[in-house]
Amino acid sequence: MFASLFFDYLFVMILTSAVLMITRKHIVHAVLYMLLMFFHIAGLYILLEAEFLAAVQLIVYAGAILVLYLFVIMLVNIRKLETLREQLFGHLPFALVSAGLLCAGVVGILMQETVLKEPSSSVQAATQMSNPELLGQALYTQYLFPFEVASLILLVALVGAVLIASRKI
Amino acid sequence: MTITLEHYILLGTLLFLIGVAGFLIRRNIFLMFMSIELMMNGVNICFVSFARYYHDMAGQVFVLFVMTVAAAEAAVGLAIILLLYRNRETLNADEFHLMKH
Repeated sequence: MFASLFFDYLFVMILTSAVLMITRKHIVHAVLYMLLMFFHIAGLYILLEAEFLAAVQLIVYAGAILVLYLFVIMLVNIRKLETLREQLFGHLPFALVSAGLLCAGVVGILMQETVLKEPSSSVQAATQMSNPELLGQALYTQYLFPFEVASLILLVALVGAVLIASRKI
Repeated sequence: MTITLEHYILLGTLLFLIGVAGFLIRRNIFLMFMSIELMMNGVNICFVSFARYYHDMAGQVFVLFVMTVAAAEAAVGLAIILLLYRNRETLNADEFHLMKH
């Protein structure tokens, strides 16, 4: 019952923030709505028993990629950003309510899983292993080669980004 | 009402479609880029829900790879945007028509 309610809330919030994101006139507002969406997707991953991916979603997407976006946006059009400050505080009640609801939902789901210990037929319950353990085992045995390729992709992207951005044409 | 796999797929598909719409409608090159992230997130939701409902970790492993590629794509793409802006002084994708003439 609680999980279903939480899912409905996440469903509405993810789609609403996505639609708001692609319709905003100011690009920084769009980025902030994308941040809201990433947080709610992390909540959805917790609902789906993928706790490690929820953490990675927050660290990689909300923490790294979004900051990179903001950084480049501010590098590109710094003149338009001065009017932003007074506009942003109008969103404060909305932000507080959604943050509170998401927090309550995540805590509720985690409590339900550990306290009630519902006999779910999930992988975690069957093997008595936590989600990061299962993911690590899959990643370092069956998917070791793709894992190494992923690290190569990141290296190439790193070198490529530095090379492209520093070149004078 | 219990949450079934179809609910998650519906959510992922709708998110993907919003991303496609944003990519096609908006002309700001940043927003087009962010729409691609939206599409990737829609796909990720589907992957994680498959992993949950078919009891297979492959879905979650693949999401990790999608996130890797998204990070690489963001780094290289934003560097290209920065270079474009330095040359053309605009963020409107319609004005990048150097190859047209």
